[in-house]
Amino acid sequence: MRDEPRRSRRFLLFLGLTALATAPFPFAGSELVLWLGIPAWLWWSFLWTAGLSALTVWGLLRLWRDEPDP
Amino acid sequence: MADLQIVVLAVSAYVVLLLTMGVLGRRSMRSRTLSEFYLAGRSIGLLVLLLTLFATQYSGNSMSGFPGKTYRAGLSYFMSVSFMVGIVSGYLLFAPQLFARAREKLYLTPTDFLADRFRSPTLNYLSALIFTFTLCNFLLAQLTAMGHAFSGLTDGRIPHWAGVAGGAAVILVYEILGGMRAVAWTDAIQGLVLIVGLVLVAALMIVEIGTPAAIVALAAEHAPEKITNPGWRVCFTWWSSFALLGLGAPLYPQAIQRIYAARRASELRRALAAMAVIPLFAITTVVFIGAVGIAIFPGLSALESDRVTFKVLAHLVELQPLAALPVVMVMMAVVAAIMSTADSALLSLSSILTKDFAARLAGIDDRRVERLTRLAPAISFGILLALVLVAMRPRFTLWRLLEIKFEILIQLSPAFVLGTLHRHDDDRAYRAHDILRGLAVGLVIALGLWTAGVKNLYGLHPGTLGVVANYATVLLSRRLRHLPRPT
Repeated sequence: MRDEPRRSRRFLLFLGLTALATAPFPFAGSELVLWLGIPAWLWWSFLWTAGLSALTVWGLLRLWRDEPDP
Repeated sequence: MADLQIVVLAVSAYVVLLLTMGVLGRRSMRSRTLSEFYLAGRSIGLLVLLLTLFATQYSGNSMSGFPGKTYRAGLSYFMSVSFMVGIVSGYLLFAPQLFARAREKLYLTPTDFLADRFRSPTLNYLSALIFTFTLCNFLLAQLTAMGHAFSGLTDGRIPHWAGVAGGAAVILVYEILGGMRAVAWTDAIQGLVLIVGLVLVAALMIVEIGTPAAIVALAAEHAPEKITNPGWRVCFTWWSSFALLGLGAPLYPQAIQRIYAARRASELRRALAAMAVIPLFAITTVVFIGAVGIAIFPGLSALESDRVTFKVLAHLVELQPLAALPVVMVMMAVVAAIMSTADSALLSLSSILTKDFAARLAGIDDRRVERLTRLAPAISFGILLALVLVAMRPRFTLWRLLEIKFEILIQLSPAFVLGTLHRHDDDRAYRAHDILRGLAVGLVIALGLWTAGVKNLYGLHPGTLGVVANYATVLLSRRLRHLPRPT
């Protein structure tokens, strides 16, 4: 339970996800939505969210390796 | 909505299944210890762990509240998918250390970690009080939702009070019989029902109404303002919601106890990884129920919009009578989501009252605490009886107070996140008074703003503002302690 380098990367991951999840990239304005067309816009929003999900899974599998199973 | 006989048959079969799980859970108990009763002997494997985490996290609110919010806020509420993913990254801030520590010290309740790490009776009782308040609130909300669900499912033939009392009785029986093992197994069934229900409703919406793109295009025709750029204020609320959910949801006592109950760290890690993917399907479907509501039922009031899930389901049956059976399954999924959250909250509450209050107040040490096993069923019964009486009168004046539970719970975040950074004897460790100072500041801000009627400030929740000040106070308190003293 010592302070270790991986811990700071976990904080960075949380902060990074907060920034990416709360930036309005999937909703970059109604004009862009209309320009893209609704199906393309839906795919963009979904893939953006799927990217956040993949980043979280990566974080879990990559940054949680230091605690051995009892 | 659907044939009453089908509904009664489905509900009866479901109740029998849950009670059978209770009996099987009891038979599988290896001993009569608190650890066996409340944590299933710390032996929950990957699949059951995943399904119990899923069923516990997705409450009745996810199934009926989220579509209502989508209806009111528009497609910008699609961001709720990210919030549910964010909860998993919140676990990563403390769960790895907490799991390892719980194995070493055999923690039973969340307060056990705080007691071991900070050694402060004040922090122990204060945190146990916050957990108790949160769980009572959570359980009360689920019991009331259960009454509404049974009443709605049977077109009012089962009155609200009977739904509350009947559902509570079923939960109580299987929980007293099998403890955490029965709760986790029933959660697994409820999780499966929830997944199947969501798949069915997604399929029905696509077949009967249209593809997601067609649904959004239809919604845009009726309410174009709900498909537009959300603006900076909504983005602030997103940020605040992400912080609230990411830091707060992993702190639910029932969530922490699932960390304790996991068989291996690797299984816990994999279950959480799957939990980061599930919202892509589950919450997306739920958001699209709200989008269908925008398209089909324009002009609903805020109160009516909270029932948009049921309106959409009824509409699907009108369009396709053969949909009645799948719709019953979906309605059962709503009931499952409520019951699985309620049973986990009840078990957790019972453990906190047994271990954190009864044992500590009576001065019973860890060696003799197992004697309290006999108390557990009685405590569960007492809690549920009291809350059922309150839930039967949903206009109870404490309701408004109960709305703020999440914003109070989140104030314990520094105790877990910063508390797991060091061991108690480390010079750099945060001390109990650092945590208590931060907790005091966070609670004063959150409760003060809320009491003053400020539900959000520039889109930020009182709890988020409180927790930012809370962390800042804790960090400052430790910093001041480490400053060199003037000679």
